[in-house]
Amino acid sequence: MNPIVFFKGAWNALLKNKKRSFLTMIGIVIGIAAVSTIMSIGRGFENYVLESLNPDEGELLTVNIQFQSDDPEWMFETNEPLFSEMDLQTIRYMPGVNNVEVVGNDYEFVSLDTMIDGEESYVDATLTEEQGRPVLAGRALDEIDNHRENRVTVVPYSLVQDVYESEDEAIGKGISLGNQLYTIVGIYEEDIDASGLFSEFMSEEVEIPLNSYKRYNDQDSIGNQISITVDRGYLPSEVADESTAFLEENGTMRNMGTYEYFDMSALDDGLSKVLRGITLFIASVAGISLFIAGIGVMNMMYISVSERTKEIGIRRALGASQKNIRAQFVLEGVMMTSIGGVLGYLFGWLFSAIATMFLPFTAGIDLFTIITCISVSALVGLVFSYAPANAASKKEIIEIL
Amino acid sequence: MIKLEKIRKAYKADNNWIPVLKDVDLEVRKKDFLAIMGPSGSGKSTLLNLIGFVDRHYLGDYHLDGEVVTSKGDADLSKLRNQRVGFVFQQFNLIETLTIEENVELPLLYDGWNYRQTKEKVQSLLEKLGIGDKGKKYPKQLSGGQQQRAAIARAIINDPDFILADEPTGALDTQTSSDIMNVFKTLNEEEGVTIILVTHDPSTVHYCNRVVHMQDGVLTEEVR
Repeated sequence: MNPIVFFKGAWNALLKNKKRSFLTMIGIVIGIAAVSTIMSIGRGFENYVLESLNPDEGELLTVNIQFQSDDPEWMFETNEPLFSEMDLQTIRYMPGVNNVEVVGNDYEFVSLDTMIDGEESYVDATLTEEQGRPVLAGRALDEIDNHRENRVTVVPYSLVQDVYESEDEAIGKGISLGNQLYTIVGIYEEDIDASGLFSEFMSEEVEIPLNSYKRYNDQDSIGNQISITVDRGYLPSEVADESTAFLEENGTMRNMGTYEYFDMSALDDGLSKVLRGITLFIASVAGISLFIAGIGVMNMMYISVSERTKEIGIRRALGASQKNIRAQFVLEGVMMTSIGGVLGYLFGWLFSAIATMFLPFTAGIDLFTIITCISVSALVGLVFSYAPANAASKKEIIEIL
Repeated sequence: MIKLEKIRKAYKADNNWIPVLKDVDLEVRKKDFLAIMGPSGSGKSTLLNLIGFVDRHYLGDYHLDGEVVTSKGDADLSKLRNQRVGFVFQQFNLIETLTIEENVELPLLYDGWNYRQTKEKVQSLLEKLGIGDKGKKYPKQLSGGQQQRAAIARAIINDPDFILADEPTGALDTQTSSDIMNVFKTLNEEEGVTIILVTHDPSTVHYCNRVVHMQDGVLTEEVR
């Protein structure tokens, strides 16, 4: 039978029962509208995240993957590299990876013990790579100190006032920081805040060059992180996901612990949390609605089949095979739900357009959503009209005529 | 053309097999206008369904142009119904949601035609049967005689080898009945269409050239 003939027949049958077809369609429309709304909003949100996390201009983003051992002691004792050259090479060739390198413990602050006037205490140290803070006496730290790994420090006067009578006197003197002797090259003025209510509880803060710290105080530590530079157009979280999955499967240290990364897109985003809640809610509405709509379709098709028993018999007598009859009824169901799907998509588009007026991004029209909506609705039609259509095709002609 | 050999059929009711056809032998030749007469319940409709490839649960052999059709599957039987036989029923059996045109073109559509090809053929046939102006109407808008003419148009549109008519005048008044019978007569004489007519109206019998009687599942030919 000619396909156009089939379509026209199904279309006519639906038109003959406009009201019933329309009512049955409503469930599908609601379900698909819900699906298309979440998909449109989800797409918009994804683009928004991509856009904000990886803009077209400026520096490329990096994402760090950290290795966390199951046995912390082993990690301190071992001298093996936690990320092998092999790991790095493979990750470098993964899609979206621009560059990858091992980073050491990336501290900005450390706590060090010190000896002042024969008394042991702790100070916080700021690790600096560039120009340090301005000083009252002596000089500030600079890049050269960091580059040459000079063991020099800038301290607040309060730290050393018991030992030296004036700021100038302290310059050039030594101070023990973490069992290493540093030379005081500058004295800085303390923050006014530091003399506030909690000043007594706050430890003194000194400044030392980062590389000097790494060279003398932190020589044993090995890099437990890699930093992946992400190409434009890729989501850092996805690149990190894939890399982490690869390491979990094949990484050198996969048996010794776990690889983790910090998902920036999940960070501080109340929005994404709310959206996830909404998505879950709408998804369940969609699912239930599509199921109920499907039952509705099935019900209507059964009624239609029993109403048209005589018609089926006549068609069979005129030469329709069981296959023809089955195809006719399935097509009617699929056509009805597909029309519902198209309407649902349009409603969904409308809803998401309204919804995004209150959100910081826009939801566009995309082909994937359209295809999903129409194929899901057609599938509902197919699944739920097959049984009635089959029942129609199995009717005995003799009993009908 | 049609040759039935020792056809048997029985229905099961309350664990008893009730025979409806008892060793029926029948031969129908081309251009026959055959009447099957008999009281209701004698098995004549059963025989008609069997000849029309509707019923396939029977014993015995059915030869169509020398070919055995007894063991064919649904797809093949559907094709036979479509191309080789035309049905005319007592209650017309037009599909009420379709117009007369749409009803008449159905057999062509099941034969793989498309809409553009059918229009002309349908219209000329309707005109030949005297209902050329009723094509766009629905069955309910037509009189019984007109409906039966439409049903005859539908039965012959595929140029079938034979027409099976199950009491085609049973729901019509005398005048219309004779009109319809004349349509059959013309088809038989001018187009050479084979017609098998089931009837218990003796007034229709004189249009036929052969008459068989059915009584309790046994078929006997009336010698003229």
